[in-house]
Amino acid sequence: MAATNAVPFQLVENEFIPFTPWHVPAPEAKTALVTTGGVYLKNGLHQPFAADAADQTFREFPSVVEGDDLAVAHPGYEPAYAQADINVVFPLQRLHELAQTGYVGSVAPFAYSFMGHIPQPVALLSNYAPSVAYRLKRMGATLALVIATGTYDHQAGALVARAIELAGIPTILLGTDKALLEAVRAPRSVFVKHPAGAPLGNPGNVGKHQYLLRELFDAAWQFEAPGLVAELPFAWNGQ
Amino acid sequence: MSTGDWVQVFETGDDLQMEFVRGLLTTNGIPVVVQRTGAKEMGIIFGVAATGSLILRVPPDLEQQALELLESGAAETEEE
Repeated sequence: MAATNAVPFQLVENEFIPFTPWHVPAPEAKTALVTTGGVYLKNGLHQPFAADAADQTFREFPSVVEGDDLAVAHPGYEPAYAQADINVVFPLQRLHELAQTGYVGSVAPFAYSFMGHIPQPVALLSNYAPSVAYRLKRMGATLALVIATGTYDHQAGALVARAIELAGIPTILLGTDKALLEAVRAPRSVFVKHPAGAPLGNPGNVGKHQYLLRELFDAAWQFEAPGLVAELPFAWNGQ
Repeated sequence: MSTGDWVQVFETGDDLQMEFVRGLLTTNGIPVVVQRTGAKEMGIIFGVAATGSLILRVPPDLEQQALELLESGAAETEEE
């Protein structure tokens, strides 16, 4: 793996995996969304994430935010897919659609983004991941969906998921690198064979995104032990 | 409506005060965006607060409701 600014990627080794029992099924859950996709608000409302991979902070979004207001800054994946359809890395609109059809109980009032290309996630571990976990707990979220976008993001996403799980909220981490998902030991992980930068799949394929999320919730609901990785049978059919 | 059109209803340099106001509005169903200016984005809430200014924005159609809530929140704080 290439390291930005010669900072080597450091795998945080975790023996213990936090695991909060998931009692509230998706159709009743207040679901929060957290991405590692480097999403931020345009119009000067948020500072873009720094391109040097040292930025371990997060951005907060009201869940009513519109896709046109969002942009991405992330050195670890090809941004074309996210620029075409932000839902491939930040499926907030898809969650609202699932809430309207009753497949998700409700969407938490705030969503969050990190920029997950973090070689050495010390500040993420000590400050920013617990800060987001605390916010999700305070807003009454009962389920958190965490999206890993680039390669390093699998570790960042897992660390965020672990912090949220320690706060008592069950999590599901969606990623596109099976070996890394197994290595980073998130509480519940779901792998899909899509390219980095488009974990939800092809831009604009609303039906596929919704179906993938429904399958993801169903697969993760079956987990009875921490650290498992389910695989969804989706294929990339983009360009 | 684009968040770029949301209007400012509150400004502070204090992270904890912003957390209080943000909670007051969101628990009353008003979506908010917190904009940080002049400092690193999203200061640490466990530990030392970041420097800089925090601006809270709400949708224009909820501005009046937000201001009334802020007024009532300020009055309650003064009574204590």
